[in-house]
Amino acid sequence: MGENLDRLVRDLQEGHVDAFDAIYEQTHKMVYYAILAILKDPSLSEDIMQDTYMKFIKNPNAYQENHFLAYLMTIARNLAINEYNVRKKTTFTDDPEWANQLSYDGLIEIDAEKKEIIERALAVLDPLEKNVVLLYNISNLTHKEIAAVLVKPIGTITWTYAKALKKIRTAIKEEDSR
Amino acid sequence: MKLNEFQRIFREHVHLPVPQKTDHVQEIKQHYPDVVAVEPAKKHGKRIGFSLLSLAMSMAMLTVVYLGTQVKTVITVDINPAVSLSVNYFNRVIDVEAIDEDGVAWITQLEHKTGSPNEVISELLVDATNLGYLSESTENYVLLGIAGKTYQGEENMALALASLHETSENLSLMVISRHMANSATTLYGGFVMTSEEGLDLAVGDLFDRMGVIQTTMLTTSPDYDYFDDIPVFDPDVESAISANTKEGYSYASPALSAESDAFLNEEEFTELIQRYQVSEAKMTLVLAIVLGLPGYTQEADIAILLNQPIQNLMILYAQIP
Repeated sequence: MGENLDRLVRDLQEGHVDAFDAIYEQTHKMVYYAILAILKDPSLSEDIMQDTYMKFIKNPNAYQENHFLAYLMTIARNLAINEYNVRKKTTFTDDPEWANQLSYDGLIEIDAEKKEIIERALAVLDPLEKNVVLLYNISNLTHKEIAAVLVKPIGTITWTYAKALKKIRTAIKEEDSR
Repeated sequence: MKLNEFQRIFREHVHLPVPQKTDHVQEIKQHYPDVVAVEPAKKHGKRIGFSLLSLAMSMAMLTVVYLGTQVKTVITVDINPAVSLSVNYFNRVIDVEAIDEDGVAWITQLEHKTGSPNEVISELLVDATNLGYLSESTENYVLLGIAGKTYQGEENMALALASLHETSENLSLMVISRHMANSATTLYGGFVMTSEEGLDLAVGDLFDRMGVIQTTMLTTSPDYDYFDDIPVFDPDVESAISANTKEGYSYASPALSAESDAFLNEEEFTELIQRYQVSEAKMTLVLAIVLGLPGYTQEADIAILLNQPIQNLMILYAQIP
């Protein structure tokens, strides 16, 4: 994840406001995709992402823990869930397995020329596998970053990705043999 | 079509929304409160600059030499016997050591004790087949433990080791690493790669259901540094961490807290490993079974389980409710 995030945060807390640029650069995609998976609205997700950083930067010394990413993601997720609940008038976290509700359905765009083959491959994946494949290949997040976005153990993400590739490989082989 | 060709098409033709606003950062920074700014470092003259440059180059050369000899990651390979590989900062194996007596015989067969971890492990597995520890015709079970200094190093290593699974049609791998654990009550986390064709389906289903190893073992950590890398999402775990200090590493899974005599501290854990001559990964797996399944109550049970084939341990682990 590039420069040590906790050190950058310490720099920011000590008055180096420019450290924020690197903090933002390293984390904004994760924050964005964590919010997007809840709200499923790109424009609104950007607003909540901005609110997330705003909340942090207004009082950077409020962070005193040893895991900044978890801290930031908690702010983002809480703001997104609040926004969702206000807008939908239903509670996002009713389901104890709420993390399983995270998805990018309806947000994926596929170019027409390859739509058929890609959709057939995605069809063999379960929702978690699809999320991991999308975030890893399209959003270029690492497995650790995806674990933070999807609120899953890192081992689950690594294993899920390996399993998804195996399924896609089989699907492609079957397609070729037809 | 090959998988990498499909992945290329996938990356080129699938799109997810990306953040569009570019003025976020400056706008957000305007909300930064007034805090004491630190004075920037003064500029130095050219002569000092050259001196520093040559000093830096010397240091860089020394660093390269130094890092080549330093162990960054330890990988343990368990098939009953067990060995450990020391891997340096350039991802090369620099030493192979036996963990138990049979491991000594195993590594005497090894021709290349240096190389990439996958190369060395592949050769070890071939040697193990020649020695009769593994079979060419039936499913082989291998437990790989990774203990590194950072999460990123362990993730890269775990992914590289997972690809060993592709090299054989009858290989089931359990890959567990310290940093893949992501809660304070988990010492190791990881995953299982099975060879579906060669594996009893019922067991395959169990592994599929389990997916990921969450070894609810104890608790103890040599220090708290590895928590730096661990996202904590469970409020109970978060408060358990914040309630503890470096000196008192005694917090544990809330599920196990009623059985305080079930815990081991760091010293006891290390003592067990040394007494039974096993890898940390295997001991973790066995303790998870002892703590997770009914019927295991005495230390003798640990000894019995440690003598079981890795296959049995993986099956028992999968049966933990």
